[in-house]
Amino acid sequence: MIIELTLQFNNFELLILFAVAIIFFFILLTDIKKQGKRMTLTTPEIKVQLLCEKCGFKEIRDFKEGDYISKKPGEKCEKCGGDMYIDIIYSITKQEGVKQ
Amino acid sequence: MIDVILQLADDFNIIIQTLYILLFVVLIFFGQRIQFHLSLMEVGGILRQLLHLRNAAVKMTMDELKKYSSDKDINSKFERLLNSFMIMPEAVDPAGIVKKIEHIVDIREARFLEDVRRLINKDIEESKIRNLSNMVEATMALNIIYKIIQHYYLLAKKTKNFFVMAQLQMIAPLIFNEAKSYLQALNAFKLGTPIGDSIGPLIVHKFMKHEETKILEHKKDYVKDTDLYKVERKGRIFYIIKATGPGGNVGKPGEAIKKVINSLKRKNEKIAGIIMIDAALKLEGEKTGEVAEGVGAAIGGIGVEKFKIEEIATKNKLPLYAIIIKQSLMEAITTMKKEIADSVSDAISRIDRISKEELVDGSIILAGIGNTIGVP
Repeated sequence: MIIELTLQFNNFELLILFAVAIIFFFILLTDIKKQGKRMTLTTPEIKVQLLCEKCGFKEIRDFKEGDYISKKPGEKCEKCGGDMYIDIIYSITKQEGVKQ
Repeated sequence: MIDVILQLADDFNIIIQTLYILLFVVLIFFGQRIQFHLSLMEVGGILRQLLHLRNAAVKMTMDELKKYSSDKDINSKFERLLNSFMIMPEAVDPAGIVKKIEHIVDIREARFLEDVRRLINKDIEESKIRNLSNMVEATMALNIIYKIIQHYYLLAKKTKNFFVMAQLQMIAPLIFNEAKSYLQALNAFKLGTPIGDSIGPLIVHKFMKHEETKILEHKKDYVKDTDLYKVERKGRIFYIIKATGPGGNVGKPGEAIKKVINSLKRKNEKIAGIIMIDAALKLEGEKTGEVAEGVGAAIGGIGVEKFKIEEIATKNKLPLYAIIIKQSLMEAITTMKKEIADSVSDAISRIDRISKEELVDGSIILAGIGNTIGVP
């Protein structure tokens, strides 16, 4: 009976040790993952909202270098053929990793 | 067999107990040292990442500068610019310090812009030069962040000072996020897109271009890098101040407001008050693009322009109203987010409400504060 009890106690201790080791391992793993996340940069997708001067028709396209607010890029309205101007320029973000 | 098992169990028990005692002793005497080395490892990792960000920024800026330059010595000239500095005036006797700061800042800005201009030997638009100078400034910010963190890291390592390292470990992740924002800002400056901070100039621009507004007069470069517009809207006269765009530029709104007020006083024109619109840093949990109203001078920077506005408003007993658009630091220096751009109509309706209900008698001075990149 005494022998059985001693052995059971040893097993219980070992079990605690294993549990602690596993918990520490997971904490370390989460920390490493978090460190990796620090290096993720967001690459913005830049959009331009164009409005027609005549009918107010709205069009959205990708940003082109040289675009600025109220610029008339020479694009014509699909609906009425009027001149389009840049109403707003804005970004939509998407996550992307960065090579180190 | 049982004897062997019993002996093994006893041995194992002794080993475990000895390990426990050893661990206890080690933690008592070497706990802080272990913690110091763990912190050293963590901060070292962040420092390596900061170096990577700094190098990426230098490469990006150099690539952009080389597009407009055939100078073979551009690398060393750029390095010299990157390590340039500004010494703030002595503050032991603070009387008149604002003028001294303004003088130093003016010299620094003029010299910096000329240095960037000298790096470029191709004929390009002024707005592009401004954007390039903003890129160099963001790179300088990353360079200085890296150098400061490296300084404290090496200092703590050399002196084995746990408390310096602990402070560094606490603050390093926050500084790292700031550094990331600067790297992302480079992209916006390179393309010349409006950034979050451009919301002030954007709102006043949209206010001017609104169908109910009529532009009466436009004075380009009313004061250095700052434009003045006189407009009429719903029977009221507005004097609109914003930096000259669409290049990256903040102008001198304080100087412009002072000049307008003095000029209107000479003409005996009644001034109802000043409305300032600017981007403001939000608190964690607050919504991006949220508009809020208050009183006071809504302007950041080194404090010179804010001082001038507060001084002239106090001297003439003019009400000073502020409209702010909330955003994070990252959002303020990177391409404008849709939520921020969508705040324009709300801000314009608030200007209309203030002019109708609160500033009822006289002309209104409206200042769009911030970097006017991408906004003409």
